[in-house]
Amino acid sequence: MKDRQETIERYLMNRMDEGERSDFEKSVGEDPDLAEALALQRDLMIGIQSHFDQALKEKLQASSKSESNDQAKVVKMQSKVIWRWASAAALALALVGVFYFMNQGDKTDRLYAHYFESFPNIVEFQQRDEQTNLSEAFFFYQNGDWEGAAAAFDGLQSQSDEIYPVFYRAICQMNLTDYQQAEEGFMEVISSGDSRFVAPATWYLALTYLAQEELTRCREILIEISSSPGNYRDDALNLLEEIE
Amino acid sequence: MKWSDRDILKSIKSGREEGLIALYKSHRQEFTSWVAGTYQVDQNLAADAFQEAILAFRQNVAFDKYQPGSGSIKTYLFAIGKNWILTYLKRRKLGKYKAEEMAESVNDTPKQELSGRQLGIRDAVSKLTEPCLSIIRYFYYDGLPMEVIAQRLKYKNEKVVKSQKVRCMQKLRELAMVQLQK
Repeated sequence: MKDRQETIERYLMNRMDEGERSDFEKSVGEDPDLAEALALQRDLMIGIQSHFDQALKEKLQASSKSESNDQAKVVKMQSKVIWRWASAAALALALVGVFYFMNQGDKTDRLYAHYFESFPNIVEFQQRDEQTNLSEAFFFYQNGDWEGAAAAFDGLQSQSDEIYPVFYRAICQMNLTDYQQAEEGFMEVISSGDSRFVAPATWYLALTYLAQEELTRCREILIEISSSPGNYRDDALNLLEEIE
Repeated sequence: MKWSDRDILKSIKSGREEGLIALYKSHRQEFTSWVAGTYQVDQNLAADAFQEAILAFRQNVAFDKYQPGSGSIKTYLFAIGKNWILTYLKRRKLGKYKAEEMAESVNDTPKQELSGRQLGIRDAVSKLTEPCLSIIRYFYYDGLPMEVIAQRLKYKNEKVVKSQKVRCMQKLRELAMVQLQK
């Protein structure tokens, strides 16, 4: 039964070679139960795909909206510069400055977008005692409702001595672009010494500095991360190189 | 940061979305202008086609249906988007193009409406909680191997994830049944 399920999944996920594929299709033609199990699994996978595609579409649309807003900001900024600086020489100078400034900001934005990814939920199935509130917090978290999740983790923090609500709330704050609050949260996590979260909190702390363009502090932490073995060492080395 | 084709593929294969978003932002304008001009469709439809092309491309990469080396990602993406538009126009009988010019591949063309059962399952996914939501996403949507999922979610080994996945799929079936009975 279990093997059959795995075979169906491998077929649908394009993980079979030609011969196995053709044998499987032949079996489906001869076995109505197998055909029904295949149809059900296909529907499950289409439903799953459709759910996550919808979320991705929303992100794509949001990215094109934020790009339009950025372009509008550029136009606005340029017209202010023109108004202030009448002479052609000064105008040219100012535009060079603005261009340099915007490129710097743009670079850190892109690096941040490349390296920042919300931390997965590694808590829920380990903390049975707080299951209901946890499920709610992670439900918001997983669905990208950062405000709802931050509030739910806040609630959990007041009921628990554990450090994970502080950590996940800080991740929410990063998603809400409240980097200063996130920074405080990660520092608290690092000072707690909880082995599950210290390394990721240190990495995210570097990213909060990157987002705030505090590159000196960002570099210091990345050097610290890259100087010892760990999950974030390679990312830290790559990011350091790109910042330089 | 400039995204190379290799970076984009690596990002998709690891289940991340930044590469796709960068890809979308860098070619959206060019694609919509080209399609809107060539096939006389409005910009919104052209934008939909490009979005669908991105989704199809993501899926093809995740499940190894895209073979790197057969041209640039941009060319591939534009081909999927063009096929999508041609099939859409054929279905709506608005196109002035002949049947033989229609999409070469049915895989990347506008999908039929979801069936009732598929819709119920889609809605049921949003009712899942952790760790099921992550496991199901990583395995069925991102196409990540079990050992990578175990590592990401800090499970002891891939066997534990496999058993958890079976329970999660059972839960999804139950939730879908509830959705379908509504």
